[in-house]
Amino acid sequence: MNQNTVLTQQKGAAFWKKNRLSIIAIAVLCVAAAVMLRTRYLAMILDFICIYTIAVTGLDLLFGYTGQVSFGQAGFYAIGAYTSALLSKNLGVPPILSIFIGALLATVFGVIIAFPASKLVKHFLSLLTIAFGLMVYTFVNSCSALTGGPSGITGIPKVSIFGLELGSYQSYFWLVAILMVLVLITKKNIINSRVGRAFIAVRENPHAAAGMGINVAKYKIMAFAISAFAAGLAGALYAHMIRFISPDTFTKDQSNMFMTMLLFGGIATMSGSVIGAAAITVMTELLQQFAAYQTLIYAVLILIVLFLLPNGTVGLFSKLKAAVRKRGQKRKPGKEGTPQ
Amino acid sequence: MSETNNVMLEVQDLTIRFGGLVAVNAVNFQVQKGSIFGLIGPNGAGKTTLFNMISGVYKPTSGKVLFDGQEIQGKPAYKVNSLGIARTYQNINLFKKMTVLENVMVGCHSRTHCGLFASVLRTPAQRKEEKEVVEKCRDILEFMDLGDKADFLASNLSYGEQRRLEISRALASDPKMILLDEPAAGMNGAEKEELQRTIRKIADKGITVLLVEHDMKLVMNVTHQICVISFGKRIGYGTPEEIQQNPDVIEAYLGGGLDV
Ligand SMILES: Nc1ncnc2c1ncn2[C@@H]1O[C@H](COP(=O)(O)OP(=O)(O)OP(=O)(O)O)[C@@H](O)[C@H]1O
Ligand SMILES: [Mg+2]
Repeated sequence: MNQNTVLTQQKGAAFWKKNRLSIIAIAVLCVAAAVMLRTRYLAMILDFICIYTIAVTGLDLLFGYTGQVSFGQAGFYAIGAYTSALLSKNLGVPPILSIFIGALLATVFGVIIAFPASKLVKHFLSLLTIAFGLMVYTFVNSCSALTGGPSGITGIPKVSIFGLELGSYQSYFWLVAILMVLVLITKKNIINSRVGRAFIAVRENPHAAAGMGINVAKYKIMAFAISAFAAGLAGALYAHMIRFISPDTFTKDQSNMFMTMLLFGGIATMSGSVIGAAAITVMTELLQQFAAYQTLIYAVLILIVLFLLPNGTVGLFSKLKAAVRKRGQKRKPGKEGTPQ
Repeated sequence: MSETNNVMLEVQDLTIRFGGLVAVNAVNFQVQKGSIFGLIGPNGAGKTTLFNMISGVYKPTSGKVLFDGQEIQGKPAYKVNSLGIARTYQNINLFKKMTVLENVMVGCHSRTHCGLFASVLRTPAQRKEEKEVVEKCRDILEFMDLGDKADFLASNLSYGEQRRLEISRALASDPKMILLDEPAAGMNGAEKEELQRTIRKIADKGITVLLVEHDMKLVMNVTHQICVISFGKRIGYGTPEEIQQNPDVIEAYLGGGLDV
């Protein structure tokens, strides 16, 4: 008995030591969120951070882990948003259901795009995904009968769960936050699995991946589908949060924003998509008066990342951490190699 | 019929053309089950190209590849692997940003089954499979003498270690036959000795070995049968002793390369 307690304590201590930075970070984030939730405007920003994190997490599985670039995520974002908005407004489908139907329809489009995409690399893939985003934009902009054209859709129903209406940004936060956490857990489980290893293997060396029994096209398509689901989910959540959508939201700037968030936060990491989504959202808000220069600002950020922070903000943090560790370990000789 | 049962691999009139170049020209050979078979020839002879056709990277222009009695030419590489052929690469093709252990775990892909939903939900079956995969891969790393490097990034290994990791990864797919493309390249004398022992140990497990290697001492020591090709054509076929006597082979190597 006694031994067991000691063991549990040791385990707890080890867990704390290993994860203390994450635990502290999460605690700080919770306090910050609690403070922000007291103001309507700040709650809105929090909601946006959660929604963008969902979309960026999907893009990370596609681009960061599987090595498939996409500059057309706004297309999936739009499909999720319009599908859920139309189903709930015109057909009376409960929003909590239509949100997932929107995400699933985006997934279907993800698979359709992925078939040609899985055969393309680099700039050809970029062009295809840009074209896809443009096609969706053109469709929602011109097919007025269905989408309301340039004037968009107003009066999108509020989400309610078990009769509880999520009408304010504050109450909506709980929905998007829970979904964001679920999406992050999903990502963590995927990357630590046979599927995730297949993704990384495809990114690192498609030739060798095929040689080791991985059906490269299948996993590329799967990654596209997952990223489309996440973007579609985020788009649907956006639609029911703002309760008004129009084509302006779903331009290539939106795709570029997701990519900027991912690159800025750091690709192929757990925290990168959260940090990137939060930093760029806040930055965009602070620079509201320069909205006309948004694309320019993103471009500059991407250049900064490419030249100064190849592993994003997360990479900067781990570099700092490693530097601090190194100072601590200087007195311990005989540490050879670089594990991990 | 009873003869075919002992044949792991049969290559029949295998030919591939790249534009005007016939890189492999009507090559025939048979590899007995459980044997160590050498494939040698001067630079550019077509050895790697033969490996690429057997392992599904290239589709032959004509001819057949029979693996365990089944025609496999033209099948995609991932299917060939799941049928039981694993390979290593002349130009090391590791997953550089993965750890040594993870590289080997990827090798288990075709012998494991858990898909996307099992992984997302972390079902008990999925967790059990993951645990088994880790155990199996650690055993393989011990076998290949890389046990203490499990958590290193693949790119941080020495050249010889990277070659051993390629073999480890190939072994993880429980192959019936393993194709080794110049596994001794870049190794020092001691590492080559060790490699020779390892190749024998792999064959002792019942895995048929197909070996491409320029180190003649190693090839002559370790193989049972050898096929020699030059400019895509077979110029010699037999036991190591026979090959060393073969005038065509000696000629192709200009008397220089065959010193044992
Ligand atoms: N994909 C390809 N396209 C065109 N030519 C090719 C291709 N692959 C191989 N070749 C040519 O086929 C010939 C055989 O090459 P291969 O790599 O099989 O030789 P090798 O016997 O493995 O030589 P080495 O001992 O140098 O590795 C060479 O002339 C090579 O240039
Ligand atoms: Mg070669």
